[in-house]
Amino acid sequence: MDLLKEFWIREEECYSWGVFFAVVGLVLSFFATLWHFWFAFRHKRRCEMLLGIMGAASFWNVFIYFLIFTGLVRLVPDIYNKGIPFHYLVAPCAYFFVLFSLFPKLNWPGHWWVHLLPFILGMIDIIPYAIASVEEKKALMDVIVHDMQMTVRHEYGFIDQKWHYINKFLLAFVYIVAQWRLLYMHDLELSPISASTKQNVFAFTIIYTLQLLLQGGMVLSLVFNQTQRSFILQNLDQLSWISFFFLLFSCWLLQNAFRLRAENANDQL
Amino acid sequence: MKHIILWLCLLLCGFAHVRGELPYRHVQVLKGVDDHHVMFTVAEKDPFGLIWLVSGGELYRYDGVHVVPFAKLYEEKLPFDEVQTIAIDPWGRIWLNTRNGMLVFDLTTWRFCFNEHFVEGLTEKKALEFCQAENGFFVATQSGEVWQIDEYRKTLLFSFTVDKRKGRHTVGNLFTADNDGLWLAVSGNLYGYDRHQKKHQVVHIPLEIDDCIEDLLPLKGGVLIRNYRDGYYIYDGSFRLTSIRSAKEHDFTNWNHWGFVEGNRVMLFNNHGQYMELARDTTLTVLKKGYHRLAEHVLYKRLNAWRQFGDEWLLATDQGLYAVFPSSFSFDYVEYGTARGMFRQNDSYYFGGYGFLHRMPLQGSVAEYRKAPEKNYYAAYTQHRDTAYVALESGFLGQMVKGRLSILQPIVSPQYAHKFSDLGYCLSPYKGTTLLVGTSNGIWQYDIKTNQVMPLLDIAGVFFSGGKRILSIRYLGGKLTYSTEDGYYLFDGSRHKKRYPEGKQQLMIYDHLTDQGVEYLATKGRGIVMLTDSGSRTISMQEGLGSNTIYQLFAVQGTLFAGTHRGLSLITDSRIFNYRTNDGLPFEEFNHQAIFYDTAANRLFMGGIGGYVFFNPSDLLKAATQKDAIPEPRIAALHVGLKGNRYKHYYAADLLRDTIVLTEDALTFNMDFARPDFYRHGYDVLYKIDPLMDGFQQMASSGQITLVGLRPGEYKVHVRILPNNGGVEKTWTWLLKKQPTFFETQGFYALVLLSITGIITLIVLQRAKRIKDEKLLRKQISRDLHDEVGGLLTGISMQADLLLLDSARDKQSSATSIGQYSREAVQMMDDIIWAIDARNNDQGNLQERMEYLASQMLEPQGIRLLFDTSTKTDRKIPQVVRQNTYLLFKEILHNISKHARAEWVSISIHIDTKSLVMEVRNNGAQNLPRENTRRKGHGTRNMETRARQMNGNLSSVQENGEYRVLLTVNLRNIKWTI
Repeated sequence: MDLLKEFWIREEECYSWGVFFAVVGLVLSFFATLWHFWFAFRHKRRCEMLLGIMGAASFWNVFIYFLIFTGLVRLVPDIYNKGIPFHYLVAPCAYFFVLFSLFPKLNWPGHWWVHLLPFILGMIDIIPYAIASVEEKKALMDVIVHDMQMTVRHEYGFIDQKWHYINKFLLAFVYIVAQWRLLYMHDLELSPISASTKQNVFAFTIIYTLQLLLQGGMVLSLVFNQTQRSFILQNLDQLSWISFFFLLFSCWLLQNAFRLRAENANDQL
Repeated sequence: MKHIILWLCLLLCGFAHVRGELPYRHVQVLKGVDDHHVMFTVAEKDPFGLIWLVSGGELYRYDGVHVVPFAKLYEEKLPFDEVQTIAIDPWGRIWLNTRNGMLVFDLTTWRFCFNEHFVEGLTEKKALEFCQAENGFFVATQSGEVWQIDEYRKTLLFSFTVDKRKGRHTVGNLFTADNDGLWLAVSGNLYGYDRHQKKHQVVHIPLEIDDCIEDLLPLKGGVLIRNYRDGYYIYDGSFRLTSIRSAKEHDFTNWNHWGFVEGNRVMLFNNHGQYMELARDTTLTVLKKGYHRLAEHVLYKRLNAWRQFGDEWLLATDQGLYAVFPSSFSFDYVEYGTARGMFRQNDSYYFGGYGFLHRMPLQGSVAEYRKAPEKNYYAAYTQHRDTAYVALESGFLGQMVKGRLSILQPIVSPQYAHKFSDLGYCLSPYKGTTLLVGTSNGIWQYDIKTNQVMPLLDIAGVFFSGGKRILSIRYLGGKLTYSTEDGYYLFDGSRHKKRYPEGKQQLMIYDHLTDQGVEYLATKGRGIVMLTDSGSRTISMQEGLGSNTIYQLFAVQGTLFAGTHRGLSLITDSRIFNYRTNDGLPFEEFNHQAIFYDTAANRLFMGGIGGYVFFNPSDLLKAATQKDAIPEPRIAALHVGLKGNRYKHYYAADLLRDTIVLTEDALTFNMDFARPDFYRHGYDVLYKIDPLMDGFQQMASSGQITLVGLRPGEYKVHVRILPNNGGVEKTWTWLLKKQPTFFETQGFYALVLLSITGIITLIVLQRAKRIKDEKLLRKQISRDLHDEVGGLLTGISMQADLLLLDSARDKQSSATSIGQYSREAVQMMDDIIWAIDARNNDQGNLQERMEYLASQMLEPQGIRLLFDTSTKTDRKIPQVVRQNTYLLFKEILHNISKHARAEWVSISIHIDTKSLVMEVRNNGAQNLPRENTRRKGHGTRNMETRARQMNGNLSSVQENGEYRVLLTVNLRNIKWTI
């Protein structure tokens, strides 16, 4: 507890809707993600596996942000920036989830591994921080928690760290367009899936799109107002909306778990 | 000329004594409100450190930078015409005594108070006097009332009688208070009020006291009354003249006497150099008595009012506003002109410079020493108590023995004669009986015994310092160090080496010394450079040094004394203290080689452009570490430029708090920082704006920070006060929040992204639409073929099968059916092909085709055909509409021809830009055969499906013997469904 007190910063800001949404979303997404992994392994379901990966990456992203925001990341400096490669998986996972949900009979495309390239590049880029000394890591964390723009300005990486944000969202927008195309092209009359399944995928795409738009809005704010990067990254007005849509996504994930559970029970009957 | 020289002399003398005989400084705070208006009636300081002035009946505010008329600061119409005097209460409210009564202006809310309880009723009255004690603010009105003012209320203490024929304006106070009571002398009466018992008393002041009454000083148990003619009277139930009385008339006028109360003491000063400290009670016991020293020049101004604020007095005069305050250290000063090297010989100090030497006995004053010739005495070295050597700038070297100076004529070897320079700038003892003299051309070695001089050579016999102007030399531990105009060098007896700066870089170094293993260099432009084994470090103005040009250095026990271009800097324990004129220094610019430490007397002499100051280094260090409180920076005004060429100005203390919110339409933003007490030059102001600036920088003399084109977000304005003398720097921060316009919000950016993504998605979907349309077309063709042609072909197939059967009864009928089905199939194929052919999307094709079809199907059955078409647009009909309309029309005709037995059919088609409306009526609606119901039901469903496919509306109604089918298609909202 003493350690928590020592490292905890922005205590006042923690009693805000933004942090509340984030914490509730983290709890919900944690359990929902675990359930999806369990379900996917048990029933060999690729859609649920994709959702599990996406949920885990999103959870990690928000969790690390939460630790930075509160200053607690200084307690565990090693875990910082490990999520970068996984962030690149969110958009492909969402896309393939929609693809295989709408067209369940499709096989994996021939060049599916291309979608993993950003993930691999992200893995390479976290090496400099991973091999830095503990003192260096602690020093960086000390700087970052007080000046959050340092998350994109530090030197521990082969590329300028801001490009992770930009690339991630550019790729995500490419995938989201493709995702909407899938929805458009899908013909329920010719498909074996039920209308409720399509509605579920549709709801997922809407929530994910809105979440992406808000996050993208924040990235654009950062790009166009670079002097205020530190402020924007901790601006609760902006973070509240992003947290809220993360909570919505977590809720969707949870309801999807319940829906699958019910479907599975019906199938067994 | 009542209040001239002597009054102020005494005032200054008084301060000098009270503050441990520290000399007082006076500065002109303001010359005038402008160049042509220099008279001030009164000046007051508000709790925020700003000065309020009355001049020419107008009220002004001085924030340390600008003098601004109140009329300009207050945007509404002023409720007064003329201000006579002002007072400021402890809650930040200005009490204005105007020609038409009192007004109270609240600095916190920036508005006048009229209806508040503490002022209600007072605004109609004029003030006679204001006074303050530690815990109260009091107003005596001309209507004869004394009020105690609190933060939220007022209390009437007592009433008194005013006789307007009596009374005169005094510089001293005739209304005074302490924590026990109040005293008011008015109209020949003395009013006393006991604040504990809340009772007042009145007594008539004898005429001989009242006629020359000038000041009241509150005592415990009474009041001290200054009568400028007789001296001090005391009233403690009765009036009596105290022992403090005039030896001759008018000894106690404002210009030859001054007295005030401080704590439990009464301080009195007179123009005979005497001072007294008395107990502040009716016994007036003398606590201390002595002489004071006038340490300042006087002000030849007429005094209108004085006010005390902390350790400072503000003097409002006819020729400017002055502040008098104690300096932070008492430097002894030897004033004789530009100083150079000095030395002590026996009981006298000899000061070098240009012209005659100056001599000052240990006890006595400085005077020209004419026994020595006029020379440029540049640097000195004391060899013995009665022998000293002086480096002469022209003349090389002089020897002073027991006050007798002889100019040495050194013998120069012919081989070095052409290099010899007699411009000596520094000297140092060297090996044996030799001296080293730094000249404009290197270092020369002078042998006292032989009177011979030769250049200092290295092991190779090279005159290594030749061509260099030598500025300082020190020989210590067998090593010679010296500085020149291009750097600092070390000579170890055999070879020399440049120590600083490295390489070919040049830096003028005036002086150098070594203390506790660290070498200090006094540089021109780079401050003090410290050389240690681990490298070099610089102490410059950035770290708080007075100047980056250092002329002289002295070190004792880790404390460094540096004579700079801007005052004296003292560096100790990583802290830097600076002394300038307002800290007691008589001058600020020190000189090269003008430094001397008298070990016997423990005096450090540091010389500059006006002579020498001297002091005990420990005393200065002690005084430096007893730092004074530094003023808090204040925002005096905020100016915000808004869109539409609008401006807003904020002055209220309430609005100038730590957090300032700028609206989204703010374009420019100015913060006017006040500089309280800046006239005392006690501090520097630096500022930094996060995240726009990386480091602190000096605030402009205007005190203004201007921000233009601020992006939305948070900015922290840090203002750092850097005390020049003794204080630890302190930083204050204001948070500035700039609200975003809609176009700068996250929401807007999200909308931009949505638009971009939407457009890209639309383009992608448009491309996908082609694929989907093809799919749709294929699906529709297959459905049509299946529905329309498939049935016919099945019929043909069945009839053909019948023909093959021997049992077929009517082969001719089957053949006829096959023929009929085949024709229908051909017709159907033709229709389908026509329908999917995009070339038929032109206007008129649909109507022509429909008219042709109707005539083909109905006229052979004798059904009269009425066809009416109208087209009000040139646009092509969308294929899905044309295709489905045509097939739907065909279905309708088919139903009529097969089942309706109609006599006539009326068809109307109207197409415009918005819609397509088709109406088919016939009169064969009655008596439909029951066996056809199923076929009819199938046909209707088929038609409804087609209507739905183009998002059309199909209705059929049977009334008055007519059957009517109406198709309406909204051409602007065609739905592409299958």
